[in-house]
Amino acid sequence: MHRIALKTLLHHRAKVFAALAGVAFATALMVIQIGLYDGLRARASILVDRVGGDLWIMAAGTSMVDDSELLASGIDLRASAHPCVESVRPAIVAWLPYRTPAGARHTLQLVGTDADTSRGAPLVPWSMAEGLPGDLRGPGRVAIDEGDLRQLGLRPPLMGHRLEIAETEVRVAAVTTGIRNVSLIPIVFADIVTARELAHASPTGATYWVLDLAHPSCGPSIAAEIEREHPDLLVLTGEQLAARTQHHVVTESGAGVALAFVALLGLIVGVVIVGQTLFSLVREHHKELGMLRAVGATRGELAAFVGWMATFVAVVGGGIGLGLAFAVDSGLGGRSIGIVYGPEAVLGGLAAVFVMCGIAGAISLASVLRLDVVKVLQ
Amino acid sequence: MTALLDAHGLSFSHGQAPFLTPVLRDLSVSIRPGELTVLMGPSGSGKTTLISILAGLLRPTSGHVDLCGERITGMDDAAVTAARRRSLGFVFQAFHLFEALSAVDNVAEILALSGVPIRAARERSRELLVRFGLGDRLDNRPGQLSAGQRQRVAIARALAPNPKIVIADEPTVALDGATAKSVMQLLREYVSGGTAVVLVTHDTRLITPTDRIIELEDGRIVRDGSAHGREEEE
Repeated sequence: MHRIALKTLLHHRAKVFAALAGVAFATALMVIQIGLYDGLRARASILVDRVGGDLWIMAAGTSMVDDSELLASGIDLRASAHPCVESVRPAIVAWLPYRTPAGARHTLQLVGTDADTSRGAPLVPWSMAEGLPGDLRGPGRVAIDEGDLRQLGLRPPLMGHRLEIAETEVRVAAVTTGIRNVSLIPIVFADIVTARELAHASPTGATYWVLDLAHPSCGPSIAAEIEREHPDLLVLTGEQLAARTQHHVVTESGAGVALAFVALLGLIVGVVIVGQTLFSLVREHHKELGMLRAVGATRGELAAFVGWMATFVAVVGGGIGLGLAFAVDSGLGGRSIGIVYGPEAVLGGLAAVFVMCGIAGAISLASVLRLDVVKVLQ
Repeated sequence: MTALLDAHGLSFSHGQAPFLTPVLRDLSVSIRPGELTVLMGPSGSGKTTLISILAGLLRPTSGHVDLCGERITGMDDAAVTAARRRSLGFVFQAFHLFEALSAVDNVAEILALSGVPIRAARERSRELLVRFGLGDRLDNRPGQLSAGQRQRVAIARALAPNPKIVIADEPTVALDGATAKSVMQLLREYVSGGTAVVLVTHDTRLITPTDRIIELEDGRIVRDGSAHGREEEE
């Protein structure tokens, strides 16, 4: 039956083209939306993932890593006194005013961490285009991302360029590439000392204290102890803070719903186009299918006629759609807010294509299974 | 001789009680091997309903049908379908060929449905079509064939699986006189080989004296006998 189905399908070139275009469009749309969703989640929590650590101490009510406030001094000392705590690292995440060389005022996100990685702390920033994270050690040194040049009002060469952040002059000592936050506002990295100065924090201040533990199993008891002693603080594991941040960005901001809606729209468009094509093809061949039934084709064999058509459209259209999705990402390059085509995006997109063609095929299948042979052959 | 098709006490009505419209009324018929049975009668006399019931495509309101010794009345759909596949071939007035398939493939795919490997099915289909005078049209699609050629392909398709009975519903109505006769000739060759053909037609020119004629009127058989006898009566 597959030969009859596929030859029949390919015989109607215009219809096949419409169906394949519909599936390809819908697949690309869905895969891109899933990729955007994954990219959004990954970008939302990238700071937490990169800074690492077992426990993060922050102000109570913090909804996401970007939404932070300066903590009272002394917490780090008490935390480091715990026998299970190996190290306590300060981090500052702050939104600060920035003035471009042309005088325009904007906002940027400052991320300050301890540039001294001798105690095993991960390198921040990562993805260096010029310079090294260690080059940020020293007063007034920052790293900017080459993707933010236009927003920062800068022109290459960037190294050594002077900027004004929070009315303080700093110098570009390193350049990163491809680092973006979800808001697409420029992100600037600095050593913790410079960050404290720019954020007007005390010399021991931080918006986060990141704890590295000797045994992660100590985490819950340490967190409970700190929260009991300091009700104004919240202690989360890195995974919890990452998840909380992703949840806030994806769900509470409505971005996830918007992406899901567009993906659903793609699915509906695909179902309508493929469904309409298969249905009209099947209707056009009711008499031939009736003939097959009369000479002894089973209902299952007639169903296979529709099944093979739907499978062909799903596989070929889905493949084209997947290629389109990758081409879109490649075409956007570093300008995109981040499309991540992990196995979830690819498999999710393909699963959606098969669901789409399955639903579309089911409509035609019903008409085949209800075929009144006597009527169609009269 | 054992009947290939044996129908007894067939009745069929459209609609639902108490608004039933009777189409067939207590009708019995037997079809034997090597017999060409011509089913005649005015429009609405029940010819199409009768062949649909004989083929197991419709269930009679009452009565039963035995196909090659198996009672198909009351069988489930899968069993009737299997019985049809084993024993029946169909030729339709409108051919019902797949436009996307070549003449060979239109025949071969039906054989393949019966489990014949496609290469062997194509080989047998080629032989059959050559025998039917379509040797130079094997790879042509139905749209590239004349009406007579298309009906030959349809007959080859019906005969390829070697059915015991062929039901032909007005197979010559779309054909000119000479082509209609050649189509009938093909069917008669198979009848002489032992296949039974049940032919629905209005065209009396296609009937020969040895054919069996069953005339239906208002859902009843009003005459069942040889064409020769019918001529004498007239």
